[in-house]
Amino acid sequence: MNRRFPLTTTGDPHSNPSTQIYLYSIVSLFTLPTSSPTPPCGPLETIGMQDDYPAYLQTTHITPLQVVQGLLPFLRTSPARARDAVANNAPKKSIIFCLPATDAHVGLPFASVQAMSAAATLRGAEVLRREIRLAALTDETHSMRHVKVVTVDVGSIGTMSEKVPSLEHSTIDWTASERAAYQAAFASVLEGQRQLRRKPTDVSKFVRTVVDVVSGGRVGAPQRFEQVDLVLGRIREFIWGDRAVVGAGGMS
Amino acid sequence: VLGGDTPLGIALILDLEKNGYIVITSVSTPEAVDEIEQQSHGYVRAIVLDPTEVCPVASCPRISTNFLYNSQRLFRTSSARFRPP
Repeated sequence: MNRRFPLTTTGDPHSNPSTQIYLYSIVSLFTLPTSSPTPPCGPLETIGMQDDYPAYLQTTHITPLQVVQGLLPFLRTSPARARDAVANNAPKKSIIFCLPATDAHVGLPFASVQAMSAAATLRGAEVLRREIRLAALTDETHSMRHVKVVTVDVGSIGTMSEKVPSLEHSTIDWTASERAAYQAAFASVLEGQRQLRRKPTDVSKFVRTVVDVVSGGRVGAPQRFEQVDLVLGRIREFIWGDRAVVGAGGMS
Repeated sequence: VLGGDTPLGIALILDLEKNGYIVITSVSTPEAVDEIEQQSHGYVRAIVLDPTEVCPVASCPRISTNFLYNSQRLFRTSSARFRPP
């Protein structure tokens, strides 16, 4: 018995193959900083390499890549689907990694955990993109030709604007030597984060950016402007390439 | 969508659904499954995947096995009656 969408309809034992759903896009929000587990902040010297870092790495790097590994076969196109995609000018299927812009590209002091995980994921996405492109050139079935890997650099967005941790709480496990060496610098960085906070961008802009990437810039378009939207979508895809930026500070 | 119950997840899921996509999303708790599916119009299916679940290195490939099994089965056995307006 097939499951049918919407979920309120009953299953169908004789579903038509043309109504089978297929995987169109994978969007990873796991790769953004999470509140659980809270990323530890402090000098690299104090980071728990047996507990804190593996837990954070598991959540924001290993798990999303494992899921992409498992679902990648569903993104490969059968020859018939590939012909349909070309005939209908269908946008490419996509794997979208949403990454914290500053952590992925800069790596600020006392934020090593987030920076190392984000940079590792970014590098993984770049390698995957090159592998898919190379495979698309040599694969005779063209199954990889319509898959793209996109990274979305996310700055400060509405509800996910980061909370600045307290100095006392962050330094509670530091040794006397670490306090003497790092505490003043760490306190000034926290103070700087409190005073120079960016105005978060509205969540709707993030949503619009991701949906645009998923659809190749063709969503919610009135039928009569379909061709114009198609061209605009292609231009936007050409300009953006494999990277989109959204949120205050996303261009860091 | 991996992380449907993260701060940006629900807004993204509902917008994708509004634009005609069927959304299969991961959530970290069983309670979040109902919360998300009730806010949708029937085109969102939530599956539990706790990304914080840490296994010993030797069994790492099994971490997301349940999620993968459920989502792969869903892709193989699902069909759409019609797309939402």
